[in-house]
Amino acid sequence: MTGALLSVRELSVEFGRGPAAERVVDEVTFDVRPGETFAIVGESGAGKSLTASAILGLLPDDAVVTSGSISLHGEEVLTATRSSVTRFRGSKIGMVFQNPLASLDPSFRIGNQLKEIIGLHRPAATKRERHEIAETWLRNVGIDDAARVLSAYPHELSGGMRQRVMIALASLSGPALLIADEPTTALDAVVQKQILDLLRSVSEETGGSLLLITHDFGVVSYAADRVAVMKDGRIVEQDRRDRVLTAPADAYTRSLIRAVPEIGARFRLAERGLPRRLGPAGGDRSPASADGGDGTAVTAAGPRDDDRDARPPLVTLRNVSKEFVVGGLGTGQRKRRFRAVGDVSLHIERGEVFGLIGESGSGKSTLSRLIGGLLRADAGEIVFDGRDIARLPKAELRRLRPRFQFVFQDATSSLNPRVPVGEQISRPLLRFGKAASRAAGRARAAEALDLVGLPSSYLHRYPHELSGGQRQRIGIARALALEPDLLILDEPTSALDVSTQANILNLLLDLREELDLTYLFIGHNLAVVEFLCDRVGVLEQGVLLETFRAGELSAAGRHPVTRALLDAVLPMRFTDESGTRGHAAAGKADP
Amino acid sequence: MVLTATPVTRSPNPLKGTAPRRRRSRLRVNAQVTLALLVIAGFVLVGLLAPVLAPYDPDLADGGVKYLGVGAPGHLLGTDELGRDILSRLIWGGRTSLVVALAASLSSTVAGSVLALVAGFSGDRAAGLIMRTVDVMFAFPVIIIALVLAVILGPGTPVVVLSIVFSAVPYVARVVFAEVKLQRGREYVEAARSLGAGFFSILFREVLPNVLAQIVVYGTGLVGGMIVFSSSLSALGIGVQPPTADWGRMISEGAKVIISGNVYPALLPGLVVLVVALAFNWLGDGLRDVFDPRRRRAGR
Amino acid sequence: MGTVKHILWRSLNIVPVLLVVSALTFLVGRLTPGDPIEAQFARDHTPEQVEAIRASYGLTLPLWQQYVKWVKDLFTAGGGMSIVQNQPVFDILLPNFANTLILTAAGVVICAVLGVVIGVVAGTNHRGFLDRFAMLFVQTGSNLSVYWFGLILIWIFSLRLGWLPASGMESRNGGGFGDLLAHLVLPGLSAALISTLVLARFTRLGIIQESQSDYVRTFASQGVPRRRLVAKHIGRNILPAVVNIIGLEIGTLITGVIFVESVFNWPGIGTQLVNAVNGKDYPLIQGGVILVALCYLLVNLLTDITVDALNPRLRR
Repeated sequence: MTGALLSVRELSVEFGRGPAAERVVDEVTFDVRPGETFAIVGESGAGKSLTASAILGLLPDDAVVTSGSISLHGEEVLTATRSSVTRFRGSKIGMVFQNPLASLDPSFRIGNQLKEIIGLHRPAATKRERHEIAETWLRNVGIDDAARVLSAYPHELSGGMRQRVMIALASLSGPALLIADEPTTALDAVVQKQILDLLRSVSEETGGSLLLITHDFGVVSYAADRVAVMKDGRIVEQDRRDRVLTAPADAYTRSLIRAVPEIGARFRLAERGLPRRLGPAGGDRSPASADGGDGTAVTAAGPRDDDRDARPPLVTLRNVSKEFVVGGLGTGQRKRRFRAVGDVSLHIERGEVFGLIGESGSGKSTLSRLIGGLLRADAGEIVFDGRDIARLPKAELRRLRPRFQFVFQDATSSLNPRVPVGEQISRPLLRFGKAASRAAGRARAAEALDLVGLPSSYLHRYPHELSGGQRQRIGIARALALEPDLLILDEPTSALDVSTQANILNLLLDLREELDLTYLFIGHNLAVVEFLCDRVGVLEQGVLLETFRAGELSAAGRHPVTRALLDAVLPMRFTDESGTRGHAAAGKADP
Repeated sequence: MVLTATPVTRSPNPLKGTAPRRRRSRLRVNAQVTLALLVIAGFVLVGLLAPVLAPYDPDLADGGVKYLGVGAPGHLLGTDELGRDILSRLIWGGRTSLVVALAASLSSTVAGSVLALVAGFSGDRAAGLIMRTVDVMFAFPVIIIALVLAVILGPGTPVVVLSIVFSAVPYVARVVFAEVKLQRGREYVEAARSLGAGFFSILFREVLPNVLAQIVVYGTGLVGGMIVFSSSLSALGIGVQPPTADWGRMISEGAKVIISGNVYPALLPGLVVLVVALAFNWLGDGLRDVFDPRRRRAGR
Repeated sequence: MGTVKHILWRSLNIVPVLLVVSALTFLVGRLTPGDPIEAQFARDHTPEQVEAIRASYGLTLPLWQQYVKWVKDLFTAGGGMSIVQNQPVFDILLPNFANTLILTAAGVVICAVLGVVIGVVAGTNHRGFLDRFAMLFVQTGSNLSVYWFGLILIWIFSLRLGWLPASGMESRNGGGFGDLLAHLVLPGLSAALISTLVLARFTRLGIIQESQSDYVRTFASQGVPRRRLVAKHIGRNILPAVVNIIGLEIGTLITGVIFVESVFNWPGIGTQLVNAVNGKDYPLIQGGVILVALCYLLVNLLTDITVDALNPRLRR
């Protein structure tokens, strides 16, 4: 217990005041020891970010600390006067935020911003010294062309670069504690690992501790020494990382960990003859339909080869290309062409799950919209069940639409906020004559809700009355109501919490079985794609590099880009008992 | 180590002192809307019942009772330089002012919204052309438009209505267009397309319900400003013409006698304009909070 | 070099607008009902003479030739002859136009200074007493009729208190710059009223919104004092938008100026134009429209260039 650097005791935070106040952090107690990396992990709404903000005194306007204490080096932070809080900030605690794109002032050059902070912590430093310190720190965070970056504006740097600058900014005063709030959530997988390595090495260099706020068990597994699991404002358990990951004491932690998709998990399940499911079996789908899919049908790890070859592919792409024109007259920017998809050929078999993976901006969403007829290809043909939708007249394409349906990434924005859920499902049914009357439409909508495990009373609800997972179920139900052959899933789980994601993935597997569907699944999380898909295609800058069976993901001879994506997946240590890690572990064993 | 629980503390926000945040309660919002509606309804009713309520003929000049002050016997709000009863003129004047402002605001709100919706969902070229025209018109001095209209049509009520429409349509179009553009980027529009919805279906069944609240709020707020503006135009002499009683006219006629110390003939109609305009403003603000309580109320 | 090109491009952009505005302005003369020539000269001239006068105004030519002649007259003939005053339009308007510009400039200064000050005070005290007070003031003020507001100012400050002159541009026996300033205060305030409050509201909102942005949180987490956050970071980030609003408000301001001129007997073009309306002197209106439109477009151009220059994304 002795020598805790940061000591949080029974901290409670509430939104609002009086009887209507909502407690969002509930008597949270933990210590961060010198030199260690302490992670707080939890799903959205668990109160982890607010806990971090409270430490810095940066809570939003309407949040109030109602009780508890926070002390740093034995000095109370909460009762400190405002000027000493200001002193704490920066000099003793540095903070790295989630969104590197907005965390730097867009109107000043990087150098100016770094030097301002340096001047604050070392008022005696000359202009020249400040410049040198700024340059040194940029090198410390792995930026080689420091001179260029110093004179750049934030918008001229990539997200990863900006996060590096943020880390430099937060740690150049050598703070005893560096707080990183979801520092890699907004970044590509490949960059994520670099940033986590950097955070650890920087805090080792300054001799400080790192408090990591994350929703991702991969991050915990990769970077943390000790971890606290939060749920609904409370810490449900905290311990050494390996203990929490391998032998979680709390039921909630167990269910969370089981919900995390892992590379190879599907094949390990198959070896043991277990069903292909994530999380606690059954999920929150209604028991009746869950029974049908459980145990028997969805076990096989491999695709159903038998009936596949008999039928021609559902979708065939030949040399498909798509260019976008950016800028031009009236936009104030130079007109330039930008190739989003270049010369892609592939085919999707009936009944299979085809996965598309690539970094953000690799063209996977564009490709899915071409296949789904939301965009027109510039060249090549897209044959859907014998018809080239790239050249189909508008009216005919519209008639074909019910047969390929989308489930979008952002369930919140893909539902119309002002229209009741039931009407959103039944409107297209009436439009395509799949329901003769409004009443029939409602009945069909209720059936669709039943498919995704929601009661028919939800027909009258508005999207904002539903949870994120429920909204995505509505999105799936709306697509399924039209009885499509192909379901195009554009990162349908990337905005969801891990346990919700598990439920949706399980649901998708069940539905495919029940309704004989074909899926095109777009993803950026390789573990999810591997878990769900039969075959996988890898896109980079609009070019399809290779396609392979999911089981051959780790096989020799994979394209370097695929290997880089695979390497970027943070290794899970849920079953690993040894405490060794890639880093010099700074944390000491528990007393 | 600190293990004692400290007393309740408020954490400081980086930019704020310690002023407590008061959430605007639903009740207060409703009270605001109700009050504004009452005021507006009151004025509309008084305007409708003008022939019954007005104690005098608004145009009846009585040389014997010039410049009576407020509270004079028989003339509650006094008389003007011609001895006309100010209260009666205010009652009758409301008719013109309200009708002009309401008609002009309604038509410009509808026209501007349609323009914005069409621009929002037509090609980039068409949208660019429409919105560039709107941009140029947007800040063009209204008074110039009014003067031009006045020389073509001759001073009168149509000048007021038309110049309001010319000046307000670009405002409405810009506000609604910004909102439509925002909605256009949301995935539900793309989802509707993937579900086979056509142009008009997306425009009117998907997007319109999402921008309607904004339109109503903005249109309501517009009325207040237009009552004020029309009164200024009439005061300048290119709006409503004598002998029609009108608040703006009353102000400019009062202006001539203010030098001699008679402030009431000008003061009273101005105050009435202020109260009515404020009521419409309040109604607009209140409606915004009712329609969308989640939207942070920082403006106005 | 890119900058010069950019400015040139921006300037070229106003050419089509000018063409449209001038064409519309020209049409005003054609759309005016009744025949001002007839009305003016029929009584003491023979029909032939009236026809000759009509020809001398170029009214017998085809429409497009009339437009060309009209544009040529703008440059060479002082904008054509006023019907009522029988003098070149610009000879009548220009001396007064200078006075209007003086009043407008005063309005811009008042609007910029007062608007930003009110906005900053309210925005930095968000939800505090000062904010509430300022917003009450802003909301009430925005619903005042400019014309009436001017009258009330006269009544209070000139008639009641006797502090400031009630009308005109200079005292009877003349008086230097100070005298002009004294005459400018009340009309300037009235003309700038609406624009000031729009700017105040906007500045306040900008400060409140930027305060909640991530970069402000970054610098606050590093212990940058609040005053500095507002002055340096927030200030710099809302500056382009503030400049833009000031530029856009020029239209409102000109409208305010013309209302105010008639209240304060300011010898500007406002009064002349209102009189021209009553005399159906459309060449004078046309001249006035062209002058005001030109000013307005120039200010917009300057605003655009300034805003672009302030935007780091467009620099380099």
